[in-house]
Amino acid sequence: MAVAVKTQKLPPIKLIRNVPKEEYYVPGHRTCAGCGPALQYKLVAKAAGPNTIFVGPTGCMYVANASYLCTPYTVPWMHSQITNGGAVASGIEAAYKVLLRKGKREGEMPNIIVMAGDGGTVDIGLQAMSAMMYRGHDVLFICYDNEAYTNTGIQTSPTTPYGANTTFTPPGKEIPEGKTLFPKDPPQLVIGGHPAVKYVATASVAYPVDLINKVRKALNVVGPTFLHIHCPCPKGWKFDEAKTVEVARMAIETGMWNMYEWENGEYRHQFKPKKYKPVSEYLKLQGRFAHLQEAHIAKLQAFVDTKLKTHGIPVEVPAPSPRAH
Amino acid sequence: MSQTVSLPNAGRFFEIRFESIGGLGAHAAGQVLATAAVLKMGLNGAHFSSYGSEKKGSLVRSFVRLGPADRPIRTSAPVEKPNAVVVFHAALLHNPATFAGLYKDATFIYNAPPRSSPEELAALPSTVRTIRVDALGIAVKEQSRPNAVLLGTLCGAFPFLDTGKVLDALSEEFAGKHPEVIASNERAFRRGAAEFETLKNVGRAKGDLPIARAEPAWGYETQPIGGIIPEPGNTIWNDLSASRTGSLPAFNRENCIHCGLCDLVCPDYCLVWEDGEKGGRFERELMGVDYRYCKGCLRCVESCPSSAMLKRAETPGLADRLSVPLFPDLVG
Repeated sequence: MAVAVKTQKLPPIKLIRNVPKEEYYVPGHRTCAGCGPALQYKLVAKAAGPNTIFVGPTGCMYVANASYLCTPYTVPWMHSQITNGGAVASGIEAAYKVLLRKGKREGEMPNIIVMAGDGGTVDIGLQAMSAMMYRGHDVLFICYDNEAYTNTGIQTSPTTPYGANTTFTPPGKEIPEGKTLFPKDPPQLVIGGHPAVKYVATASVAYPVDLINKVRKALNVVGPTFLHIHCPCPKGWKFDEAKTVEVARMAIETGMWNMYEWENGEYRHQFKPKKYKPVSEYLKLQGRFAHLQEAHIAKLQAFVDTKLKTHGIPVEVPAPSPRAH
Repeated sequence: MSQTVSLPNAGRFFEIRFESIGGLGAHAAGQVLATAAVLKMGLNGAHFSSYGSEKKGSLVRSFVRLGPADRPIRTSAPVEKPNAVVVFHAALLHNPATFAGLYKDATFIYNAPPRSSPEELAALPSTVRTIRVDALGIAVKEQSRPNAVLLGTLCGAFPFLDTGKVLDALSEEFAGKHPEVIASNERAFRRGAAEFETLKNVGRAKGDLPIARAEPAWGYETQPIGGIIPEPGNTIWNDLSASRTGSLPAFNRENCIHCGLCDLVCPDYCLVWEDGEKGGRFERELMGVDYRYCKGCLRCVESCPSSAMLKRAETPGLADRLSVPLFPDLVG
């Protein structure tokens, strides 16, 4: 006898004081002081509540948080390989749905969240995520974007911005700008190729209430959803750890990061400044851009300007120059 | 490389262990010292560090092994029996492994403010030369890092380590990437070499200290089946006080409007909240900070709209006095 699967309905919050008091991501984890991704994890766990299962593909939020037999998550959590966050979540979701349908488990369907880094989303983990979205599993896939592979020593990833200094893209005589390539756009990647996905949004640690509401909205949608969360990394981006929120806010004010929701084909923008600040204001806060020259900043500004003009349409990037030999 | 440097202990390597927290620069210090010994002093030298994944605030050990030029160094094993131990952060004195394997005639250098002499130092052999230097204080004043100061102290304590040559190696290390810090590093280094105190009657132990090899609590025989985690959320027993680098947020309850902004920017959940008084102005009230979990990022200070969180220099014992326990029933 089949039982209808009950889903959770999480109400939106309006004010800071409506933020739930309970924490499901407890302290004592060994992330750096001022960690952006850890802050994001805390807020997502608060928003999702107790009936939640996290899947943690390898990344900072697995390596720094979970040492051997020791974790800060008080809700069920499972480690997956960096390649297969989407596949593991698919399996959990399918199994849970069957158990509920057959009446072998009672209660509501849990929130299943994949907490993947930028590498686990649009680089190494791309195919498993894409397959999960293609099959239409009821999973929220979160990409916490700190724009590099930071726990292994800050190597470039596909979301590292143009001009950043990383271990794999050091500026030098031949290539003065550091990274020559322009980054991938994860939400556009999801929107463009996955018809089963009905809700995609970008969020930032600079606006926690907005972040919590977007997580809840995404969890309420039945089917695959995707959130792209901007998380400054003091260690990898080389800025003072007290300034994490300031850096995140400046990214939005300069247009380096755009806050929007995409629901059933329609865009809604949030925190869109009346007048954008020049990107140099964002760059000068961070040590990873300290080597950039005028021409490079102009190139990045042109990229951001085009992106803002044609919002939601893929931006044509300038050819990388000079070519790496 | 014409003159040869003679090491204090003929017949065995001269071994140094830097005990540190990630971000204080122990790895760089070891590298500079070994480079100076090999390239400028005509010695044989080896250096390596042990640490976890890339992050600030975790335990880092950096090992330097020096030997005469005609004696090759064929091991890269950790230094278990050091001739000198340099402690970058006073919080590491709580860890008995910091002292492990010290020879009775060894030198022990630790970073702490003047007049601070923690009782843990009693574990040292009474014959060990104990040196205190205010590396953090000097580094903050000279806009340098504690590693430059402690390298200076090490050279000051061991005259065979040529001050000028180590300083050259330090400057060369930074010349490429950060030429602006060379002058401040040099000032910090010279002050470290001059402004250290040798303490008397500190240690109580007799003879060489035993070496320590960490035995993991869990192994293949004791771990739970299937890779499950029997105690989720057990990181709350970790003490992360050592991650703070000199400052902490001090809470002034009189100014607090209990708005909760600090809680939304704190990645570590170290703020303690309680339900407000019935019929009172506030639904929830901030009681204080549990410094066991605070890593000192000071983001709460940045975001506080009413100056209730203030940046304060951390002196020994201050965190223990101000701390409000978050899990009083669980963590003692």
